[in-house]
Amino acid sequence: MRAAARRRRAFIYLALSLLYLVILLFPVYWMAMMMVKPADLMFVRPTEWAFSPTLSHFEYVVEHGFLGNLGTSLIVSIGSTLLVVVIGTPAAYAFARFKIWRRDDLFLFILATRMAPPVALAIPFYLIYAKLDILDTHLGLIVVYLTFNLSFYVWVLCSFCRDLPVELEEAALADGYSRAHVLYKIVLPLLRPGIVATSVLCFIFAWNEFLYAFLLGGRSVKTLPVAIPTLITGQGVLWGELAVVGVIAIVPVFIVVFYLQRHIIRGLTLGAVKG
Amino acid sequence: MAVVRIENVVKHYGLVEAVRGVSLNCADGEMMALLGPSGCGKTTMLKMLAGIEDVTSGEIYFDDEPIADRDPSARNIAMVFEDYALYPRLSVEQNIAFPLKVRHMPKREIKPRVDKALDMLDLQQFRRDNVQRLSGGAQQRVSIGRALVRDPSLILFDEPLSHLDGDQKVQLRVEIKRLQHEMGLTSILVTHDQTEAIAMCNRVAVLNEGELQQVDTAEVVYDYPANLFVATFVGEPPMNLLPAELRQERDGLVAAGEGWRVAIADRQATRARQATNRADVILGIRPEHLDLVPLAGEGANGDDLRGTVFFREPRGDSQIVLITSEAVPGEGNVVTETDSASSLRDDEAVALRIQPEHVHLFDPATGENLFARGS
Repeated sequence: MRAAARRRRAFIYLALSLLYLVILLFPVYWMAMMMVKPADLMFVRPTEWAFSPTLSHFEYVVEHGFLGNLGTSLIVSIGSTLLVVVIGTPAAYAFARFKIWRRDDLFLFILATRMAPPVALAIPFYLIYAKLDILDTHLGLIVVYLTFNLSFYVWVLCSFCRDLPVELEEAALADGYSRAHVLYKIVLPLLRPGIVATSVLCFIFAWNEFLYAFLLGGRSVKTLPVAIPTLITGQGVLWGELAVVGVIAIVPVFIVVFYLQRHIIRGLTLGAVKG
Repeated sequence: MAVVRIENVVKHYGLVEAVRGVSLNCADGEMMALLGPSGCGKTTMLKMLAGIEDVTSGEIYFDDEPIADRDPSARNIAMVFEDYALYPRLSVEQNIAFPLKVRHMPKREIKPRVDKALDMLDLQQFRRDNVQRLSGGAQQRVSIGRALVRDPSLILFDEPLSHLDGDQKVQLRVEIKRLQHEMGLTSILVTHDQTEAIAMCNRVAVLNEGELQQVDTAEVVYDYPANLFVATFVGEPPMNLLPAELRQERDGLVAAGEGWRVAIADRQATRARQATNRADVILGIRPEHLDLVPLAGEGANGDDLRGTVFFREPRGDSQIVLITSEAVPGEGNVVTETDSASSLRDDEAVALRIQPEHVHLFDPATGENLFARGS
């Protein structure tokens, strides 16, 4: 009796989960289908489910250099994320561990860079970039994302650092490591889940960002979020191509999240569960 | 192993004086306790010995070599921490081998040393286990193994038993003492637990508010506390303190308070007279040196302290009795220890006799013991 009840319960859960999955994945499926659907069948009613797939959308996307945009997006996002990790990790550690003059004020000041709405800073950035002649360069976008992500990264990682047991570092010092060794061999491995989780969020932010990419880049350095709207042309919306580029834009985020899933979950729950 | 000499060490954190001029010697092979309440500067002392914190001024010598400016790695000290501080994800064996690897010792030399440490601490069965799966006691043994494995000049124990429960605590206490004794390790133990300090160490250094109060064997610290702080901090339950007046009577110097008096032995009276001219003093008497005397019959006399039983705390073979008395101003109680068979009841009127040979007198202004053992 009880076993039967439990089985029935399990079955209901499974059915509900599947239903949820269908609702969740249907738009993705629709987008995938649009990638290979001939343009003339795109909006036929009733919906055409069986059609001979076409690669013409892919051809258009390749011919019009969207792969270059993908490259630009990757360079800018990965570049800024790597810099954030390299600069932000020691900063976060220092804020957590050392008695720096006016540390708390400095710490708050770092966050202040993120308090203004991004659009408020767009014009100053534009003018500065024009003077420095780094408009429409990879460097320009990497730097602007750096300024936004660094504060976030330092704040989040600093709390990870505070949760590390300081005795472990003291033990390593007593055992004969130098400060630099302690940081490299003891602290960094323990911080890895935190670094991964936080930097993935930074990567996604840079990957999705539109406003600055549009204003400070735009011609030769065009990221995917800026390139996608160009498919909405005067002659009409190129739905199939839009679907292809959309999928291209989602895939790297999927890969990153799937590949690092274990770390991200550990990172996001670190501190919440001790032991 | 080394002789450790601490000379007038001072530590400031900004405006806060954590350690105010402490001088201390620790002999070769000696185990010394730094005992004090939290915030007394004992952990800061330990960190300065380890080199994790700089000294503001003063000097520390290992075997007559000044080391206060050296990095921790150049001091050859080992530490054992309260929460073990083992390297997670490494096995027991790897944790113990770690300090040797850091020093680039060849593998064939590491192996026998680690084996020896594992044997000594009875850890062979766990050698390949991840340290995080071990019990607290076993983790602390690994941490001791990591400290012993490289023959340090000095081992620093930072409250090593605080996180362990009852039987593991006692077991490891014995084990640490045995290893320390057998290997002749110069060791310094930081603790707020006097039982631990007394059980494990040759000498006890009592610290309060960054200043050294007294350094001596546990017996001397207990029997001849240098001042009021040591008198009340060491000993459980703490020493009774009674406001008293010193006066010269026909039979010699007498200390008297509200309803009681006690004669001071001549030798001590001379010392007290040399130490101070004041008449108002504080008399200290340990609970076990107060005898309950029957009120009826020929028991109590006019010199005995009177009060009523307020609370009784059974301790197995004995019981602690709290007594409210006019002799102690305000909310205070007089505490005494009697055998558990005694048939006291709450609110019963009692008389207490002070054993004159165990009396201490303190200067109420400076807190100094007026019988201070001539140095």
